[in-house]
Parts: sequence; structure tokens; C-alpha cells
Amino acid sequence: MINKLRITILITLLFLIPIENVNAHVVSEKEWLNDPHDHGDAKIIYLKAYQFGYAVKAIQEDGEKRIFPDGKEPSIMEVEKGGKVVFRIISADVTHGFYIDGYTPDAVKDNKILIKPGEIIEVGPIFFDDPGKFKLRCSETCGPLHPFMVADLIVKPNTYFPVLLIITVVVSAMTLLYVSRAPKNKMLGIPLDRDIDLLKVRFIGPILKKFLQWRGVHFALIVPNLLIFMVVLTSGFFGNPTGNMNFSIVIIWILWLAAVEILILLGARTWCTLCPIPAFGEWLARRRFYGVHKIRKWTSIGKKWPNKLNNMWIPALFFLTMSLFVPWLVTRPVVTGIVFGFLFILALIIYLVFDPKRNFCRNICPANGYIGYHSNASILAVRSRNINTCNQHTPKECIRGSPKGYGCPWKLYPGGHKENTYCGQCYECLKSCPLDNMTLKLRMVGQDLARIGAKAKNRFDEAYTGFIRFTVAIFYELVFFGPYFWIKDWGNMGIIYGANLATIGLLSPTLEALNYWFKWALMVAGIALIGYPGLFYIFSWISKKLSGVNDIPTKQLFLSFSYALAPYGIFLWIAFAFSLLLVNWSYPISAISDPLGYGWNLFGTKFEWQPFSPEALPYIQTPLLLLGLAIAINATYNIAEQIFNNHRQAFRATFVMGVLHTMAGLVFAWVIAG
Amino acid sequence: MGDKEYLFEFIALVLVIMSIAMIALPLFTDVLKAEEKQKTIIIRAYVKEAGGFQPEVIHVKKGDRVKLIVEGMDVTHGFAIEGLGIDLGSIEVGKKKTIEFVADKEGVYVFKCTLMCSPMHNFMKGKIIVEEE
Ligand code: SF4
Ligand SMILES: [Cu+2]
Ligand SMILES: [Cu+2]
Repeated sequence: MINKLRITILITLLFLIPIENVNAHVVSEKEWLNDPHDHGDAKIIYLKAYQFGYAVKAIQEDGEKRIFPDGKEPSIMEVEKGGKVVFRIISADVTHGFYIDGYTPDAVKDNKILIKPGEIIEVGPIFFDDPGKFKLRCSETCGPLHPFMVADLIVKPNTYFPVLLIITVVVSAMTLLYVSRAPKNKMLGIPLDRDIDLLKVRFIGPILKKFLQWRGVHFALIVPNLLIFMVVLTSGFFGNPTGNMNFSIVIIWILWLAAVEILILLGARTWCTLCPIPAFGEWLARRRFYGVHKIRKWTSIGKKWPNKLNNMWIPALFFLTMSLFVPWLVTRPVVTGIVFGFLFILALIIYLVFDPKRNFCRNICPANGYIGYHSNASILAVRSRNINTCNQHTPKECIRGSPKGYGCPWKLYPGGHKENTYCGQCYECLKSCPLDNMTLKLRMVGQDLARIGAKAKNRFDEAYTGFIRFTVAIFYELVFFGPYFWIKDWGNMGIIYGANLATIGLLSPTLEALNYWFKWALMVAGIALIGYPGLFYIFSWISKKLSGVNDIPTKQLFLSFSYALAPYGIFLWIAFAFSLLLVNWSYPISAISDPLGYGWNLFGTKFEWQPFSPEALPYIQTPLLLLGLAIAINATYNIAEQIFNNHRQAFRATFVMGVLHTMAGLVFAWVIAG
Repeated sequence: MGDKEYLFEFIALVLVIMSIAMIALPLFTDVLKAEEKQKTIIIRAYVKEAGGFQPEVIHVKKGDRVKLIVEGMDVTHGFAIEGLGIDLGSIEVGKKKTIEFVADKEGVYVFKCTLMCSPMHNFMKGKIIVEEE
């Protein structure tokens, strides 16, 4: 007994005493900077790695050393083509790594260069023979924001940047030239009134039809995702506190985010077909997973859904709120866990309280807002084959339901609808329609945009969804994969710890942290809510003046023209998704084998972090940018033509808005290449 | 509803329950069990603010063959045991290092992190207590 007590006291004492001098010799920053070094004709860059960035503390060239005091470090490193560089690196805090897109030298061991605290690591000389913009990345997990620990290095002459600027202007000029020839109802030469009835295509048509009309299709697509999201929740709360080691973070914010953006373009709201979030409520209300069953009263209180909520405001503001916390959301598993747990519970509650339809999806879900908004720019749509057949067919099983399928859970009239915004692609109407009139159509981007844009009255909710999404896409690309670490730091509130449920206390912000966050929030909200929409309004006003239309208020043009951001925004988001995927593809694949980040290797899919040709990123993003820009200008023209019914006026308005879209395109070009 | 429909509903229910069961995944964090005469202990290294080494205090019996697996969880740590002459060097995130030894002397051995890892790094340590059988 006494022995036990003695040991307990000893242990308590032990943990109170700090470790004495661990490293025999720790280099100080002074020593590191002043230590004379000569590498012939190579330039020496003194880099200080820290959580979460690289600071250029000194550059030595031709025997002359320039030292940069704190706060005055250049954010971008420059090297002449053919130049040699030696990096002398120390760490200010924990162990970091070192990687340069396309230039990483063969490391000594483990194929990784480690920068340990207290040591000077020398890398190089590296011979920079390929011009362009390259990124320095941390290659060793060093905390929550590790995946975004990036610095920029430009090998001059960076000809690609001016070339890209010129191409951007040329593409927009060519698009304007094209619309100046009054193309009627066309998008970049492709007629918009034509589409392909996918269910009648040879070979795949019948198979697809059988599949979509099979009652189990919805369930079969949801259940794997339900499993994944359950793992997301549990790993978010109980898994490794470090984001890039945790299934919830890497599956949601790398794989899911990227997949949804790409899916919107190719498959409209296909994600909502697969989504497990509202599934519990829907199954409960139907009391069936598979079959069709009359929806009974007792599963829901059946309150009427308030009309005031019948819009995109809550989704838009929800999405904006998430953007205000995004550095935490995408790096702290517990934050992701809480957000998704909240969505699951909220969806269920709304199903139980209100009429058991997709009210949560339509008017609450933050993903719904942007998925719905952008899906009007998708090439896929659920439509009726012949709208007259629908209008004359009074039983309207697609609304009321039939023994074969439920009436539209999204509260639409599927036979008559002409926009994708609220069609969740559950394919119930394909099953319930007795006349086989519903189908899946393949069409050109922007088929419905002109009509939707022209008739938009007071749809500030949708316009703002567009503005928020568009600005945030460019902002994220700049902030997360750019060298401006201080912006990241604001958003991150300067906190260096990851967190799961057990360590959530580490996230409690100090006053200084709140001050940081305030700056970040002001910046994001300022650009997304005031800056860019303000610019958009000014341009709408100029376009009104220049086109000489007097009977249409500027507000109307502002709202209508904003729909051009549906295609533009989605293309930029896909460009951003490529940044995520190419650099961090190994994380989600590894997480499948080790969902909780506990060092398992269940399926043998553990990979070392190894970006996939990140130096090619600007060239992959360029066509996406150009396509988005051209489509945005053409869509603006189609909308204007629909409103004015006059080619000359429409073209003038398009020209003005085209200038704004081109400016945004140039900004994005600068972000990726300049 | 026909029998077939009931069967489908039943299969669906089973699948849903199986999916929800994924929540129990954290119960399997330590799949390795202690073997006879050979104790396998997993030490997970977190920054001290998040708990430090887990577990921090380890009891073994004198004469045990001890196998320690040290795993990096959040940032790179180091691992050394004073008095046993064991130094595993750096342990990166997602990496494991293993050491085996026979605890042949009674006593208290301190292990500690040897690489700067957080503001409270200097308090990141633990203890192996070798007790009599
Ligand atoms: S709207 Fe949201 S919750 Fe509903 S299906 Fe789509 S993503 Fe899921
Ligand atoms: Cu790092
Ligand atoms: Cu440590």
C-alpha cells in the first residue's frame, strides 16, 4: 500500500518536472543566419519553416547576403531560369518537411526531407531549368493545417503567366465576337434546344432505364454512402485529432468535395440521389426502405412548411457561415463531425415535425443551395419527353404517387418542370409515371439558364448563392494553396492543435484568436457579400446605360445576369477540386485502410503522401477557366437576349458584363500562374 | 405486399443496421493483445496538450519480455528511455517504431519525447514501472 502511494507521488512529481536540455546542440536563429556559407554560383535561400508556412529570412547572392526582418519577408521566391539554389532551412517549432513541385531532389532516406527543430537542413543545389510557378510544400505532417503549408517559387521568366493573361482576354474577345453575330439559343455553337433522350440511346438506354425504374435503386445508392458517413461521424469524434490522418476530414474535404463539384457539371444533383443525410427521416416517414407504402400520419406531426423558408436563404447563409470557419472545418475532425452530425439530426427532426417531404433538402441543407444553383449549368436533367402529354394527363401520378412510385418528394411537378434547382434526382417520377413520359436528358451546359435568369424576380437568395460561391472559389485557391500564410492564420485563429472530441478544449480561442477570426470573417464576408456583388451591380448599371434600355430596373439586370455565375462558378470550383485531388489524393485512399488514424492498414491501401504531377496543375486549370469564362459570357448574352428581345442591346449589355467576367478570369489566372 | 417485398425490406434493414454499426469502430482501436510472457504495448504519441504519451504510465513484471510499439499521431515526436539506453530517434506521423527488451531490473524508467513538438514539449514524458512478480 505504502509502496503504491510512493509510486503515485513519484509519478506526479515526475510529470511536474520539465525535461532538461534534450538536444545536445541546438542552433539558434542567429547562428543559422550569420554562419558564412559559400556555394559558388548558387543562390542561398534561408528558409524558416513554421506552423504553417515558410518564411524567407535571408537570400545570399554573389556573396552578398540580404536579411529580411520579421514581417518584411518576401512571400514569393524568385529564381532565374538556369539558376542554382541551395536551401538552408531551420524549423521554428516542430518537425516539417520539404517538397517542391517538379523539383524535389532525391531525399536521403524514406524519400522525405525532414526539417527537425534544432538542426540546419541543407537542400540542393537544385538546378532550376524549367520556368514557371512552382509550389513549396511541407511533406511531413506538422499539425492541422499541414496540407496547406505552401510557399510560392517562381522560375523566371514565367512566360506562362502573361501568355495566360493574353489567352484569357483573347478567349473572351472571341466569345464576344461570336455572340455579336446573334447566335439564337446557342451555347458556343451548340444549339440549346436539342438534347439527347438518354433512356432511348442504343444499348445503354434500356439498361439505364431498367436500373432507374428498379425500386431498389435509391436505397442501393444511399446505403454505401450511409456506411461511409457513419465512419465519418465516428472518426470525426473519436479518431486521430490531426485532419490529414482522419477519415472524416480527408474523405469529406478532399474526395467528397471534389466529387460533388465534378458531379454537378456531369450529373446535376446526382449527389442528392446518393445522399444519406435525409434518409432516416424519409425511411421513417415511408416506413419502407424499398417498397411504396402510404405515408401515415403518425410518423410526422405534419406541420405545414412555412412559406417564408421556401427559398435559398438559409442554405446560402449556412454555406457562408461554414466559409467563415472553413480553416477549422476542413482541418479539425471534431468540427466536421459536429457539422455533419447536426445535419443528420436536423434532417430527421424536420421530417418528424413537418410534412414528410424533402423540406430539409430544399430549404436548409447548405449543400443543397449550391448544388441546386449550379446544377442548372449541368449537362444532365430529369425531364418529361413531351410536356403536353403531362399537362393533359390529369391523374398526375408524378405528384400524387402511384403503387409504383412516390409522388415527388421534392414538391415539384416533375412533368412540367424546366429547371434543375430543386430536382433531387430520386427518380420516383420515372417509376410512377404510367405513360412512360419521364426521362433523363443529356444537353448542353446552360439550356435553361436564359429562361431562369430572365424570369428571376427578387431572387436575391439565388443571386447571392452565386456570388458567395464564385468569390469563395477564387479566394480558397489563393488562400489555401497560396503563399499568404497570414490570411490562413487569421482563419485558423492561430491555433496549432488538431482536435477530436476528447481534445476539443484545445480549440477554445483566446482574445487574440477572436481578433484574428474577426479579420478573416470580415474579409470573406466583405468580398462575398459586398465587394463582388457591389462590382456586379455597378457593371449591371453600366450595361443598362450602355444598352440604352430604360424600362428595366438595374436590380432586374443584376439578378438576371448573376445566373451566368452558375456555369462560371462550377468550372472554377472544379479547378479548385483538381488542386485538392492532385496534391492530396493519397490521403483519402490511405484513410480507407486506417479510418481512425490509429496506424491500421486494413486493406493495404496505405500510401505515402506523394502529389500527382502538381506542376501540371496550372495547365489543367487553364482550360477549365477559359471554358467557364466563355460559357459565362455566352450565357449572359442568352439571358440578355431573352430580357431585351433585341440583339444590339443584348450584345452591348453582354459586352459590359463580359468585361467583369474577364477581370475575374484574370484574377484567377494570376492566382494559378502569376 | 408480396413475400419478395418483405424480403427486400428485411435485407435493406440489415444493411442499414450494419452501416450504423460502423459507429462502434473506435472500440477496436487496440487490436493487439498481450501475449504470454511477452507484453505488447502500444504507446501513441500526442503533443502534451492533447494528452502526451498514451498511456503515460506502464506497469510490467520483472522478467517480462516487453515489446513497445511507439506510434506518431499528430506531429513528429521522438522517443527515448532513460536508464535503458533506448533511443528510437524521430517518430513521424503515421509511422511506428518497435523496440523489444527484457525488463530484468526492478525500478522506474522514464521515457520522454526527444524532439521539440509543442509549447509543452518539455513535459511530454512517461514512466515504465518494473515490478516484482
Ligand atoms: S439537399 Fe443536402 S441533405 Fe438533401 S440530398 Fe442533397 S446534399 Fe443531401
Ligand atoms: Cu509543416
Ligand atoms: Cu513530442
